[in-house]
This record gives sequence, structure tokens and C-alpha cells, in this order.
Amino acid sequence: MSSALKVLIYSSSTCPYCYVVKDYLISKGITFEEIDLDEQPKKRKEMEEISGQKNIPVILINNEAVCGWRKEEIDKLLEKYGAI
Amino acid sequence: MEQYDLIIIGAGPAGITAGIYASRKKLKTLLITKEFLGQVGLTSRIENYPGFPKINGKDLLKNFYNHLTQNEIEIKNYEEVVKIKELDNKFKVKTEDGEFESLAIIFATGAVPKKLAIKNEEKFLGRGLSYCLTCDAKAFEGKKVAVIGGGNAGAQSSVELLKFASEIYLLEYLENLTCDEILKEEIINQSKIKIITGIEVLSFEGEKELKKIVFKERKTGEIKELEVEGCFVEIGTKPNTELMKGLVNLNEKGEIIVNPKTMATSKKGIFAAGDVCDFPYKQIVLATGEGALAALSSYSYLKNLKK
Repeated sequence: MSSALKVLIYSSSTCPYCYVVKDYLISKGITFEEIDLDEQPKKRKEMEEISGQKNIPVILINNEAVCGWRKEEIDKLLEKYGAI
Repeated sequence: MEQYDLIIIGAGPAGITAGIYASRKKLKTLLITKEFLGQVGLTSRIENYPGFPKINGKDLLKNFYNHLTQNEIEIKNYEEVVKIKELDNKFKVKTEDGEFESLAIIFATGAVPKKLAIKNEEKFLGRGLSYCLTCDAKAFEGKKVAVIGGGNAGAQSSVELLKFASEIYLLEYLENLTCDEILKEEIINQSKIKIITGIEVLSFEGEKELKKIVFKERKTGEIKELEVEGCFVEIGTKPNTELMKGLVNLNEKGEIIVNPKTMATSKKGIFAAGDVCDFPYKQIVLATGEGALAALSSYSYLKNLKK
């Protein structure tokens, strides 16, 4: 896996798609950081600015955003950065 | 190529229950699923599943998953079935990553939330519009929000939004709400929830973000606008049966027609269970029962086949 890969997820404890995304990344051996918007509500504005929308999860893969549980888009970026 | 007695496709309550029953019958079983989620995973509050007076869908699904994995069953998660081919007395199931053969199949692919298919629906997705209340309700703290759909999901969403939204408008196409009476009582007594029935939603409007919903009163034909900052769509589901077209008989809604005594489809060796079937009611408790029945019928079918 590329050592340069940085994955960040904006999530919430009540969001089922967030759990699916995290579990999927774990299954692929991808490490990630997480911002739980329940614990850090002020980060919501940052997430909205970066992604240009309000819904979660938002997954940042080397600063490229995927909005929602979209396996194909996530895979495309992970492939682009040599992570899978 | 790996050979199985049974391949189960889908992992909501029906697929998971079928997996538990099949593994306890010692069938060599493979469960293939795009994800462990289903409609149940998206439900904020479940109060009619026996043994759990109040539980959220995510936690109930986790319990189901933990129960399943205590049994001997092979699981391919995050894998999508792309084709099923009928061979002599068996089936070839092709996924994005491999091919598998089995003597029987249970379809438990569930249903997906319906979209309205109206003007600007895509434009405002994530910009005021959401299909996942449990994900996005908190984004609408102190805001005026609409819920479209007066069934159980819409009514429950309205109740859930009481924690966050300043005002909630529940919009329903029919003259009356179709949710359970107990939910009806709950929402009617809430001053923050306003119910508007007998209307057809025509479009979403705004510049960058959702600002209003345009709708028509069905009796008078009068066009009206409702100013909101958020909207959740809960207008039911459609069966996930694209894969089955031409393979098994479907009804006019696209649901798989099953024999309710066995869950057998029109194709010998293929069974179905859960929201994908033509049962009139879509309930978690029914889906689990159908999953059990489909697995037991598969077992009988396989026993006869091997005689």
C-alpha cells in the first residue's frame, strides 16, 4: 500500500452508511482517520465546504471527496493511489 | 470452481435468517452480498420486532450479523452478483470477482428506496435533500424540514426529527396517512408536526440549496409552495430484481412471485424471501420468517435432488 495515502471520513454514530464505509476500508486493510460530527459538530461546516454538500458520510482520499457509500468511486481513488 | 449446496444472495433479515437455518441444516452455503445493510439498517426506530421493544435498525442488524457468523457459513461481503446462469440441475453465479456453482439459490436482495423522479431531485441531493434520516437529521438542527411519505417510515422520520427540526411538514399523496394507528396518534399530538395530505409533490426549488417544495393539491389542482430548508424522502421501496428478469416470474410491481407455503419461485431450485417477494406486507418479522421458510424448503428440495 502506498505510504502517502491519507483517508479521512466525516461520520456520525447514527449513520449506517458510515459504518459500511469504515468496515469496507478495514476489509481492504486501509487505515483511516475519522471525524465524528456528533463529537465535533463544529467540523460540519468544514465538511460542507470541502464536499460542497451536507450529507454524510464524506470520504476524503488524498483530499479527493467521495460523498456517500459509493464503492466504485472509493475503489477508483484507492486504485489511483495504489492502495488496492 | 467452488461448488455449494446453496447460494444466498442478499444479507438483510431474510438472507441472514436463511443463512442461519441453512447452516444449521449443514448445507454447504455461500452468502453473497453487496453489504450488510438492507432497509433494516437504515431504520431509525423499530418497535414491532418481538423481543426488542425498542431498537434501532443498525443495532438489530448487528445482532443478526453476529448470530449468523456464529454458524458455519461462507460469506462474500462487498461483492455483487452480475449474472446467474442455469445449468443442468444447478446454477452458475458470477460476481465481479469470481464464479460459483450451487444446486439451489435463495434470492433475498430486498428493496431499494424509491425516488420521486421529479424536477431538481438530483440537484438538491446533499443540498437539503436526503434519503437517509439516521445519517443526516442532525444537519437540520433548528430548521424547517419536510418529510415526503405518510407511511410508517415517513411518520417515524417525522417523530425522529422532533429532536432537531424547528417545524416538520409531513406530506402525503393519499387523502390519509398510511402509517400504523399508534404512530398516527403520536404525530397528530405534536404541535411541531404539520400534516398535509392529498398532494402531489412536483419539484424542488432553490438556487444552490433547497428553499422550497412545489406541490399540487390533488382535489383542486391548485399549485402551492412550501418553504423548507431540508427534505427527507420516504415514499417506499422498489424490489431489487434486475438480476432476476427472465429467470423467474415477476409480478407487475417487479416483485418475485413465490409460493407462500415454500417460497419457491417459478424456477425449480430457486427460492426467494423478504422484500423482494410479492408478499403484500414488508416487515422485518415477515422477512425473517420467509428467510427461514426458504432455507427449510431449499433443504427439502436438495434432499430430494440427492436421492
